[in-house]
Amino acid sequence: MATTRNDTVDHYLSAFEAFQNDLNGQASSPLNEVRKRALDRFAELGFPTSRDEAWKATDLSPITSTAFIPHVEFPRSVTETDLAPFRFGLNGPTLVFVNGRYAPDLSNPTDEDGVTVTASDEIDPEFGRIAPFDAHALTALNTAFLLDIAVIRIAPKVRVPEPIHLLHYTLPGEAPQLSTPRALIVVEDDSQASVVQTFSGQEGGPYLNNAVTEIRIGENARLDHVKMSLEGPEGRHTSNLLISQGRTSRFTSHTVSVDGAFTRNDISSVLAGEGCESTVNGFYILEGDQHCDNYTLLEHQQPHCPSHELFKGILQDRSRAIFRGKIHVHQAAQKTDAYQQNQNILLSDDARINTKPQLEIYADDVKCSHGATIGQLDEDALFYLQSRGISRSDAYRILLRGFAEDVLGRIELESVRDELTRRVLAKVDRNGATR
Amino acid sequence: MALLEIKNLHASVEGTEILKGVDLSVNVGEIHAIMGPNGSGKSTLAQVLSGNEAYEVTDGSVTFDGKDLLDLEADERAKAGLFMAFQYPVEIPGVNSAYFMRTALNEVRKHRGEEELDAVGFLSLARERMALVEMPEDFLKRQVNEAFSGGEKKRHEIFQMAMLEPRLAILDETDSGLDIDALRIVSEGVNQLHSPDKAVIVVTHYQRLLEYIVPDFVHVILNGRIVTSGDKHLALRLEEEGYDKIRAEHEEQAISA
Ligand SMILES: Nc1ncnc2c1ncn2[C@@H]1O[C@H](COP(=O)(O)OP(=O)(O)OP(=O)(O)O)[C@@H](O)[C@H]1O
Ligand SMILES: [Mg+2]
Repeated sequence: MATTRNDTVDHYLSAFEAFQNDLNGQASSPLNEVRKRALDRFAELGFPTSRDEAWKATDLSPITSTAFIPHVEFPRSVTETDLAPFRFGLNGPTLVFVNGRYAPDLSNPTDEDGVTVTASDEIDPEFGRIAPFDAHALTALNTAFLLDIAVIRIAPKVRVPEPIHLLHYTLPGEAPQLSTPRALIVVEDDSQASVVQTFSGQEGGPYLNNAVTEIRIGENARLDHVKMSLEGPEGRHTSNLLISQGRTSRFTSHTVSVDGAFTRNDISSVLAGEGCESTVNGFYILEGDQHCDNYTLLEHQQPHCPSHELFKGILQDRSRAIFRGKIHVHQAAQKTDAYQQNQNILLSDDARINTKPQLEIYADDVKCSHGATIGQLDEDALFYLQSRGISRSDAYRILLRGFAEDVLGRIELESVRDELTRRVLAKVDRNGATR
Repeated sequence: MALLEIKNLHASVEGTEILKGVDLSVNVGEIHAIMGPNGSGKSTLAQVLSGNEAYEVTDGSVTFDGKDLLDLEADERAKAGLFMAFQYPVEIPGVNSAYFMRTALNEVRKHRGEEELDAVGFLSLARERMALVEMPEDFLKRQVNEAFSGGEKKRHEIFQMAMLEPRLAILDETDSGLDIDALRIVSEGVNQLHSPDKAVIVVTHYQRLLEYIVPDFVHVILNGRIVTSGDKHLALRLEEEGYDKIRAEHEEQAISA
């Protein structure tokens, strides 16, 4: 097994040959040309290091010190029973991916009434435009080993009645494996859709889900987006979410990290059309030695765009979290109204949070505010609840629930919101005995 | 046997002694008023009685209904029938008022051996009790005390009292922050809740409240000790004279003692 960064890069270069052989004749497809170029770029870039501003505080060794193995086919199969807890009662168009491969028998694709939800190994003309592989090593790695790409396309003036679900599920194998989930989401002008991305996995060993999602939202269109990581206990999860928004469009996203050993979320939203609105929220709850890293970048390129950002986290045990929130207001982006908050509750002396806002403002008529808090639960509030007959442990739970619901309560899909709240509370309760 | 029996209570916060030997006995059916200058220890007494662990009891004893009160956690005191209306009610963002009140009420009911209320049963009781303090119903949908005005917070405290039906209620400056109408409404609510098997301690700076909630006893606390007690006329006297005279008398006593 590889140990150093360079070894691991070399590992992927040689794994690529085996991967090519397993592709059986598909090696001459246009997608494969893209894979090859992406692999070359990955070899040039290598893994990010602490010299990269965006990775400064992150210890990437859970990703770089293990040689995760890409697979074309994966032998183990998954049953509906395995998936049921991650379906959230969502019955609309659904694509299920097991260990990175599309599972048609578990899926419910669609291609009618202006709504396309399919898995494909063909290159969409828009593929890689918003998420080019040349700028970001993990996107290059994702692209190099791409298999099935989820494509969601909503034609203009269509209101999709049901949420669309992309459900990724990983069964750890004997050797640590790499999956490269990829999604392209296009919501054309005046349309409205809701997309849920679930990344889930079982216990049984380490694996890496290195996901990339690129989203284009047309003029006056609206997208509600929820991304959850509910990975297995040894699962590692890296995600690059990139959004480009058109005029007066609205984007709302919730990035919720509940389970997994290591999580890194990159979220870049480009407010590319005048008057568009971007809401980028997130929540994380950590225990044990878990690590969760959220890196957000809001590019205000046009005037009159509000953006709202609220990330909250609960840290227990020896867990580590990082929040980096960059807001870049371009010179043209007058009347920007950007709000950013990161709030953390540390329930253990050994937990660590590293939080940093970063504002770069080149326009003069803007409103930008940011704030970060790190603290324990409010003793006055605990006493207030107790003085009304509520036990200290219940008061604890009520306050943590309130803290979490401030973010989770904003998720519009009730079944998703309730299940996430339940999972968060279960995690709080698991650790209750140590308080 | 007195409902509440406080003997020689000493308490300190962060190493500073605030209560320096409080004695007080409260029987069922009685209304007591505690008055005293700013910083004399009134809220400290209320907080200590309701079990705030930020305050350390260094000496003395308190029994409630014959049981050692100081042995109980704050929530156990509430379940046993003690209630304090906070001078400064705490804002709890993210926690819905109805959810909070129903959880608290059901904890107390469970303890009393009463059936827990479901959402419907809770709402009808809450409506009735909100009417008592003329609190609009939509407060239940809001987060606990969050962005309530000063007066709204005080009404919300009395609403909670009306829901929990405590045997002993300690109202810490519930009158401050209330407008004239609200003062009357809240006082009438308190009077309606009062009964021969219950007791009330009101902490106040103003005689005005005591015209509505007429006390059987008035106590003056000075520098962490109850220095004089009397009937409702004592409050009238204080209104006229202020604390200077009592302070002087008390200092004389302290010197001659
Ligand atoms: N948590 C605390 N930390 C430090 N000092 C405290 C604390 N609580 C109370 N004190 C001090 O104890 C003294 C008594 O305070 P307390 O709040 O009991 O007064 P009070 O009689 O209620 O006054 P008021 O009429 O202004 O409400 C004051 O000097 C106050 O500063
Ligand atoms: Mg006070």
